[in-house]
Amino acid sequence: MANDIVVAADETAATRILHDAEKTLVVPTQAGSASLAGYNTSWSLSVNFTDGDVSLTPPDVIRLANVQLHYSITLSIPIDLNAFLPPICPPPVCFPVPFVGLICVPLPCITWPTINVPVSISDTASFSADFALTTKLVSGVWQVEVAIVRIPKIDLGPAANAVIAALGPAVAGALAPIPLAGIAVPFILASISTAAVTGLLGTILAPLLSNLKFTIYKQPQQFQILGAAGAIDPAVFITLLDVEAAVQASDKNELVLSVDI
Amino acid sequence: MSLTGTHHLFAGVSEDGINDLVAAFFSARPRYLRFGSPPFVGATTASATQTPSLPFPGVPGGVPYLVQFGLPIFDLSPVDPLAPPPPSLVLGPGQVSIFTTVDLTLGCLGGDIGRDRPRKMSPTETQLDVWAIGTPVMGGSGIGFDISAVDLPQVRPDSLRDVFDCLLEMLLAGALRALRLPLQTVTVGVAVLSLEDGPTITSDELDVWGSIT
Repeated sequence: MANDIVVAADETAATRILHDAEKTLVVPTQAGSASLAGYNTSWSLSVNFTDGDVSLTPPDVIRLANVQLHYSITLSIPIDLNAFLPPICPPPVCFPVPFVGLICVPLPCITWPTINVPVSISDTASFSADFALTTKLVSGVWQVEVAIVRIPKIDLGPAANAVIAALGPAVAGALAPIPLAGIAVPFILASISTAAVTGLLGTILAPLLSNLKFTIYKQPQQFQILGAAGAIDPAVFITLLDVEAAVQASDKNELVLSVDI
Repeated sequence: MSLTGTHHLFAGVSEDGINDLVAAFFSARPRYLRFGSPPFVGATTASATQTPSLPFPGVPGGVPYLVQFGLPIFDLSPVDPLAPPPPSLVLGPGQVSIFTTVDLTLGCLGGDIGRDRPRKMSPTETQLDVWAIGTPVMGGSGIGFDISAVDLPQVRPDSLRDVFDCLLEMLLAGALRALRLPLQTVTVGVAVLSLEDGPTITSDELDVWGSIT
């Protein structure tokens, strides 16, 4: 054995290690704006990941199949009602002026407001992707991560359909306080296609997935092997001088960590 | 052949790794190599463990003594041909040979020790090489090493050597009882291993197998 300590996990144990890593991944809520059918839409996104079937491929690839991506998306779609409703132009006000006759004063037309339509959906999508092992020592902490190799294909059709389904009541609700504006609802809904929603969701998710990493090992370089047991028995530490991670092939492919102390 | 075999998790520590772990333990807790009665050890501290003097009739206060072991060096089977144990000890498969030194110091009390007057104590010391054979065992708090045989090849005659072999087997076993390597140590925190097989020594390394919890 060239290294001081070797730890190996087969695909069953590696699956458990990856699932635990998914649980510890905390993705901060993302927010931004993007175009949805021409509307400059604000969005916020929160996600977490679970499950997935692990297969190990030497020398350093871990394939995760059917990872569950749990997401909640909130959209705020600004809709200028003037694009759908004609301005209301009241007739001029006329009044008689002695010795002059009838004087008529035109009144300004009333324009429609821009409304913000909120839409929120939560759902789960699944994806499969290859992840590559990387090892690094950062600020005295050894970390072994699996980083996604390329953005996977995700079927966003169901999510887009959910947005479209939620859009109807959301638009109607936003227009309800505005007299006469309700007639614009079908026209507004017709302006936002499922394809446009799919495109927006892809735009939101792509940056998140392209940088997706799970940390499967994280320990301080000064690794404690025994805790303190009173004042006369201090904690015992060893130094992890080097950590390497790889997938090794044999009768079983294994995730192997090799450590020098 | 896979490392995990029929199990899901494997951890192996090389002979060098074992010696690094042992050195780390005894460097942090040297009191487990130094045992003595007053006046050699006034109180148990991180540096030394106080033990009572050897009581004996007519020796008020008992016989003072100090036992200081050197850092044990472990040789996992097969035997290291450059540093084999003495011929009286055989390193069998799955075993470990341990070499250390022991400083034995007796607090030799001068004058008539039966009289109630201050006596002069002169430390009398010898250093001996100690070889031991042991096997790894899994205890409640981790992997330890049980001693099964000890030899002090420098001691003569044979009858005295037998006495010292027995004495040092007990003392060394007692000192090593504190050395426990948790499973979390041999997996360096990769995962929590539920032990199913081992600890086993083969080809200069100590291995354990299990499942992940």
